Amino acid sequence: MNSNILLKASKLNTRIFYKDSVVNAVCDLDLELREKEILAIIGESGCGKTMSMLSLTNLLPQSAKITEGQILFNGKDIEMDNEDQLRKIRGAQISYVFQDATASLNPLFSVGEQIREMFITHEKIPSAESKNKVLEVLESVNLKPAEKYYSYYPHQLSGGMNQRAMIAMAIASKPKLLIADEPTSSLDRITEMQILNLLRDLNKKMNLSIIFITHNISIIENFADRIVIMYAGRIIEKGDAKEILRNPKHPYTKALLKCLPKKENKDKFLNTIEGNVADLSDLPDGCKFNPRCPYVMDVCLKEEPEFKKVSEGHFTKCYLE
Amino acid sequence: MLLRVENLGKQYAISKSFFSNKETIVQALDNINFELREGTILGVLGETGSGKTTLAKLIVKLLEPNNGKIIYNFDNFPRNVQMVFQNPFSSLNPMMKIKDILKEPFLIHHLDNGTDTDSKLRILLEKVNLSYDCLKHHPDEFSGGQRQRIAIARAIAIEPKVLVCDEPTASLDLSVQAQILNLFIKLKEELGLSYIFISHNIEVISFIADEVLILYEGKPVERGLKNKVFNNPLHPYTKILLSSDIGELQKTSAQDNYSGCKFYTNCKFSSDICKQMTPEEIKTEEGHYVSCHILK
Repeated sequence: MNSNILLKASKLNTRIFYKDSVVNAVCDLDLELREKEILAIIGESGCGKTMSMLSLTNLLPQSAKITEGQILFNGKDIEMDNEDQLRKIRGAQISYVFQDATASLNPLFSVGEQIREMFITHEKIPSAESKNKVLEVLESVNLKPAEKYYSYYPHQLSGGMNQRAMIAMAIASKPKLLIADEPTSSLDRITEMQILNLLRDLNKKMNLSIIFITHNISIIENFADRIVIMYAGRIIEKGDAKEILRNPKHPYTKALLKCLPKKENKDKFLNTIEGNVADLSDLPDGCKFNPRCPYVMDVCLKEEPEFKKVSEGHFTKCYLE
Repeated sequence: MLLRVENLGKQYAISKSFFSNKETIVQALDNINFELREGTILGVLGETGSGKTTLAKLIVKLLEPNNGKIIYNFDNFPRNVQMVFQNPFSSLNPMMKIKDILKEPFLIHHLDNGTDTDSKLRILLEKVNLSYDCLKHHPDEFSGGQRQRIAIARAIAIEPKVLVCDEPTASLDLSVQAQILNLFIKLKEELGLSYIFISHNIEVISFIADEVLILYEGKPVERGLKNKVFNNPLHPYTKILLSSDIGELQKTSAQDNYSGCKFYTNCKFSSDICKQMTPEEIKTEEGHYVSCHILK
């Protein structure tokens, strides 16, 4: 099994340094991603999804720093201080798609020009040849006719098309891993499905591994191979996607699944999780979910649980049997 | 019946470029009919650009319609129709304390006699499950869910009859969304409110609404009682929307003007008449209306 592991992060810790306090945004994160796999990371806002993904290539804001941990990518160690190596990896081997595509694109350059930059910086292709390459990627994300979209500026495109353009840019230099950070949360349902279909196609055709960050469990059922659920900067449950959706073990995962409004649901009120999302600067002792957990026990208040095996490939951090 | 909308239409004129004065007319909303009954929730479902927000603005009279009319079956128009917006980060003034934000509706509608405002605010905060202490704080000290509660408190402060909610949970996390949806239902029962609840999220609409109106590119597609529409969708678009497989559906732009059915290019069953004529709304059964040629 070890041979086809693309990315392995172990004991990754990222801290944010404020004027008078330090916040542990990512805590002891262990993550494994196999080749050609789609992994979904789920959690509410402020639970460390984005921070942990930015940590993978040290794209962190200035106030944040990786304090501990090791990342192996394609069998090689990613050195966090080696800016030269990081620049070669970012965009070329690990690329990102962010939530708000319209804000991520430069409004002053046409979409095609912005994608061409990828070929010029990463693959050193002379600019004359690069245009054809751009047209090829535009076609592969279904922006057809590519010739027309090449010269469009971001404001002339809709949100979904901008997101396609961002994906085109991200896959331009044929990366091994695409990290998509809530790429569909500002899109409506049909556009969202189109983008998910596109990502799945690319996953098959280009052997692209995808890490998909979202706070919406409902869309990933037929999309992701594996799921990781995060709470307060920690992974609290991980495993096979279908297994977790069918048989969630952690009270937080269970509660999150019940919060979803469903068509079949005939109850008058939805289930909710009492209280607010954990405040990273003021975390409780023991299990970080304990203030909101309906099954809290004495041990939960004292000691943080370790990963426990539920079934093959399904792990959870909870004391409950 | 609280509110009736008849043949409502709204056009926008947009100039092609900054330098030209040629204008194109975009029909943002066309031929909308519905009734809002007392104590019910009408869910308006549609994609980006389908005219949902235009409809909300017309109902609260932030815009004037070009065609048709809205009949309000009550007096005191502005007081009885209030609005909750999508983003509670931009709909609350960051310079004002919560106390002032919540007092403002009373001041605007001259309902503030200075004596019992405090007790009114206390009751109001209880209704939306916030503590009394929050009055002295500013909006930036609250989370998204708490801010949306404040925005809801402001909207119900002067006891309106109709609440127009424009994607009120779209910017919230799942667990918070569930809390806010429950709050809407609780308030409906306690205060006898009616909602026009706009969303692009089918699950949310199917949970909260009693009746639905589905829009596509500014045109009504299908409307009626929720159970009838969702259990027996008739329009090809509704069918696609309710299934999770969207196939090769591409969206056309509202500016591609032709006179026929807006869904024509994406429809499997389309024929010549779909291209030439806009379908009229037909009643298929009691409380179920569809705008489609193939059902004739």
